[in-house]
Amino acid sequence: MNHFKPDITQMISPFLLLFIIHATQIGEGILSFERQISSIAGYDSWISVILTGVLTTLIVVIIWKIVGEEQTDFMAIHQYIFGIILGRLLTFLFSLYLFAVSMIVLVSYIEIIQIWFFPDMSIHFFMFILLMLVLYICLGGFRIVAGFAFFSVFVTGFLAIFKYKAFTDGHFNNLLPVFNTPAKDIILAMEPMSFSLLGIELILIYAPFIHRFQSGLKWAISSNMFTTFVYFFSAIAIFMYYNEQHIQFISWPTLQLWKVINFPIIERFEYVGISLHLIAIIATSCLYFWASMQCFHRLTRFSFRKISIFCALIGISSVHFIHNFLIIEKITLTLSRIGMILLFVYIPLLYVCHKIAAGVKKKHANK
Amino acid sequence: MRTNRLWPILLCCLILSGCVKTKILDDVELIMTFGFDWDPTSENYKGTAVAPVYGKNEQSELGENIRYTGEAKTFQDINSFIQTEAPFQVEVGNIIDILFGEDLAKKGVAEIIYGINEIPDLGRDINVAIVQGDAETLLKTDYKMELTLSRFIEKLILNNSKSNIPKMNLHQFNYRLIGDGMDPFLPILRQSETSIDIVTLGMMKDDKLVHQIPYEQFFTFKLLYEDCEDHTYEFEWEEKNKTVAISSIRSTKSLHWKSKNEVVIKADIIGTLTESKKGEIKSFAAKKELEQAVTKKLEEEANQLIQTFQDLEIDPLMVGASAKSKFRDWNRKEWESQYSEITITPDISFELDLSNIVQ
Amino acid sequence: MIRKKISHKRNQHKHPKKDVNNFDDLFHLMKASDDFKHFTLGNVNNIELFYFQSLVNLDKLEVSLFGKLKDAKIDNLDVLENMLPFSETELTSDLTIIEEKLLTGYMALKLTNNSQNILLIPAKFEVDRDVSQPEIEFSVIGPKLAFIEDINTNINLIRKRVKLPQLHVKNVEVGKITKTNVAITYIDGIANQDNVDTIIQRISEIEYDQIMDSSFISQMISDNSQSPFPQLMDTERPDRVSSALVEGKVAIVVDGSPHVLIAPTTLVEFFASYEDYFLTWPIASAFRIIRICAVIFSVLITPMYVAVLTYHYHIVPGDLLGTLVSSRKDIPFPPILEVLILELTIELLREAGARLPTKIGQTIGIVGGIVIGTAAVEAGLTSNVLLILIALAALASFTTPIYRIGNTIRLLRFPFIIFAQMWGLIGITIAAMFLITHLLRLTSLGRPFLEPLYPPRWRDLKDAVIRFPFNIQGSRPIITTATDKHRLNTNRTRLKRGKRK
Repeated sequence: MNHFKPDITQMISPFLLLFIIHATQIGEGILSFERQISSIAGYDSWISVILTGVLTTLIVVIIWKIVGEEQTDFMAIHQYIFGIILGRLLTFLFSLYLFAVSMIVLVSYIEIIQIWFFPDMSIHFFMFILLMLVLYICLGGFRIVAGFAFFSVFVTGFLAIFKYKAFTDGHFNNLLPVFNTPAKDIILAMEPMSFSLLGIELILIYAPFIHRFQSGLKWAISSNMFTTFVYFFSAIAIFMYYNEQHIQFISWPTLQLWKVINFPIIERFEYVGISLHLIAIIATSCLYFWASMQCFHRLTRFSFRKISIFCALIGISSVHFIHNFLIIEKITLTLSRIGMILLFVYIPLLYVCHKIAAGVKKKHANK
Repeated sequence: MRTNRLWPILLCCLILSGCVKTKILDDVELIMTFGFDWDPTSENYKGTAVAPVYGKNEQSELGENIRYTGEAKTFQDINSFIQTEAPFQVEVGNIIDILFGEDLAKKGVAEIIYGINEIPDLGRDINVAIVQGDAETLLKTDYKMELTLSRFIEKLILNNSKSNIPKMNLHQFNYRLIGDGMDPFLPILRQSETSIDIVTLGMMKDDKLVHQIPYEQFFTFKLLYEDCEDHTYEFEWEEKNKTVAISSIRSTKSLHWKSKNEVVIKADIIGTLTESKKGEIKSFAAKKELEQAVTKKLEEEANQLIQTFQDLEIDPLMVGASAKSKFRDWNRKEWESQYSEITITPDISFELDLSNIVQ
Repeated sequence: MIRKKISHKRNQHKHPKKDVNNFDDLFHLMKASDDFKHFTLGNVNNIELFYFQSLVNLDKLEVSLFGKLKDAKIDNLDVLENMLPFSETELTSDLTIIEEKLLTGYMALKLTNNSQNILLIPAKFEVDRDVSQPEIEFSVIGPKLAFIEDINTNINLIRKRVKLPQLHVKNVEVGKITKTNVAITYIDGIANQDNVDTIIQRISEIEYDQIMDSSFISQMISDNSQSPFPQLMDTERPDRVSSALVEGKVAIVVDGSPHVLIAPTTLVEFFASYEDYFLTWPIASAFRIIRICAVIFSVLITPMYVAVLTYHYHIVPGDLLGTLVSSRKDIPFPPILEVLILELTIELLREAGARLPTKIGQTIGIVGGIVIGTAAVEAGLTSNVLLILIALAALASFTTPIYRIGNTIRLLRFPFIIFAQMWGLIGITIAAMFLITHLLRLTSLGRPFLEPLYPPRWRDLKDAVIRFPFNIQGSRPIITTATDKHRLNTNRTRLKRGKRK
């Protein structure tokens, strides 16, 4: 196996996994997932949140098993199992997916900004500035990307406090009776939910960048559980604040909730909230962008800087084609399907393959 | 060197394409109150918008207002109609009150409310109310008041919703309008000679005004509807032929389902006796006597109120929502057909707190 | 640009030096200057004296040198060296040393025989001011001493506080023409040798003709010299430097500069006044938090004003709406212009106040603050709400204990204002993200500048935003990667329990 050893100044402590994984998972989804899951499983869908959390934790453990003591990453594993050509092809497809996610996260947030702030805003220019920012972060290396994610977690944590309004003004009755939805619906609601928890597949890319990777498992699991808790808390808050019929009319329930919050100097919190949430969006996008560039860079042997700038240019021009609400919705849906298959089918499969391949090679070595 | 050449290009970009439409605070017409009426002849909504006029020094002048009216089928269209009258760009983001004329309320407000819900500029902590008569006449009259008209209506509803009527903002109205097993209600404003008062509470069936309850029943309604704090209740003790006031009332309300057709609304009240006018209460027996009398009176009133609601098949007390959370096989159709027949019993217990500064 | 200058100077510099082969050549070169004196002494007039009048203390010489030499018969410089009551005399024939010493206040003695040996006698003319109170880092409590322009006095001030043989001073000379003396000071055994080596290497690699002040060095050796943020702390307080040395940092003392540089440093240190250590920890922490809030306020308040008034009228509460609208009623400019005009006015006032003599400076402050402000509001050029905000923001930017970061903060506001004009609050967020990223990318001597916030280091957080009491700060900060990590044994400082009260 060819080992990829990153520069020591770019490596981070395993404790930071707690923040990075959380930052990858919290994106635009936290603003709208309540509507999606409740349209399938009604107000019992908070159970789906917990179930998805448990399932993703399992995947995290599997990822730790795949990476193993040698701290290999996706590319090395692909080449180890499938050989150089097929391995590279798979890595390429994977990094395309990562790139697509990093862009769609930005584009779908720009949609919110357009609705709430500036309907007449030039998307191209705005995207240009955002991608400059993403490039500025990503070209700094993984340490900077992780640092940005670290700070973004405090912002989302701060914003989560403002769901308090739902507990003071809401109706707990909405959640009762519990388990009144068929189990099948609860399982089905896990699909939109798992898109919100996507992000742990990135561990396979940044594994070599973490000191004492094996000891990071507890942080990764805590992070995943923390995210699950945040989603759970958010779902409970929103379900208390809106009744089951009402929520189906609302695209971003959290943003509507913020409309009611006022302080002596801020009448409408949503404007501050949307602005601050952009930090979380950029963090998510950066992590995906960096991961995808890392793959491209190692596949092609172009310099990281060149390939990043090139891809950012593609990103800007992609706005040209993705501007319609329906297209964004459709792409998001497709990507979430791919992500789900990747997470729950491909990664366990990879683990099994890895085990088999390791066994076979060991046998060969013994002979 | 490369970055040096990049900066001027970037700066040009900033200036050329960075611009979005500005809404400078003093260059927009800030609509703060919107009143809607129904015009049956043209089948249009008639909107009256009120914007405050701020002088150079806010303190020195009385609140002045400027009014615009427009007629159209949708909220957005009313706005663009209003734009034809206003010198500045009309902005609705600061709306704090929405008023409906009585005719419109009787016809149904859902259509216009859904229109309002679709505008991202608007907040959700907006006061909604119905006006006796036309909203337009109420809004177009000049009053002598220190605040601007919009702020006056806002403060009026806000302060009353702390003591007399339950709070009802746009979000809560939507919640009740759309949700199952509940119906909304709105305060009704009336134009008095020099000012504006809250006169009744309008009960709605879905989005239509069907019943009004007067001031005397506000307390009973609030008691059955939610927990209250710091209320005052005037009790006429008929047997002893005197009137006492009970103040600083704190109450807690809860629903208890005996069976699917029987529910008890329990309200525990604690209050202080004031203005007893020599009706001295020196013994436990006297205290108990008064407590029982009040309880009896309140239960009577509550029964009457609940009976009215059941006769009208409206559910502002959200009994249906409670049933939904209690029974797994609840469904809306069945509930609506049964609602008027189920027994709803108010169970009120009153406890007197005798501490006061006068003995 | 700099490179061009260097090469230019180098040519000039080389030209006169190339034909100096013996002392006579040097003599001829220096003779061109009128303050260069040369005469002969002694019985047989066999002692020649050379010196720069402007560099030499003549009083000292007349008493001790001329008196002795008047009647002496000397034909060997060694004898003369032993005879004279000077400590740092040097006998040499090396022309570069002679040239250097002559130019730093030495006197050259030469016998008229043909020997190339020359005796150098120190006779420095000291013109430095006395040690005085700190001017920009003044503290009400605590020592009131500041560095001066003389390197030896400055090192003396440090040594007085750190009485350790392990306090090492390494001298490096920089500047092609100025030949400034730079002393790298550190405590051997505490400071990380890597840091010391990096600093020595970077300083000796400086290619520039003149080093007039420590800030030249600070700009040339910092990791990212394009950044508006200072990456080396500069201070005029000897106590601050000594304390940093004990923490394991390295101090750079530059001759001719009353400011000493400390490296490595972090962002939060710039918001820590040394006075914080003289106060009890709850009070000190409260002040630090106030200072940090003031800085955030100072950077964000005017961009917020622009954003809210230009785009987000929604978030103005009803009670404030009247005040804001009334105050802006007659103002012909959009908020952005209004803000820029006032901000620039404040900057003008500050700049003028700094350049003018103290007494006039005060007058300018009053004229600017009161007259221009009131007149601008009355003339309807700016709103009075904004005037208050700008004045507060300016005041807040002066709360930083280190002057240099205050400049940065005043400058930072302008990109924020531009972004606020472009996209309102979203723009401010984007600007803030650029700023955070920039700070994340900064390093000071290769150590992260945002430490201990990122990477999060709990041990260093004990003296960051909140200054915890001394007895729980048992170890030296991680940032310095000190060789000796332990400051004290925390077991011994722990309060005794179970004492009868």
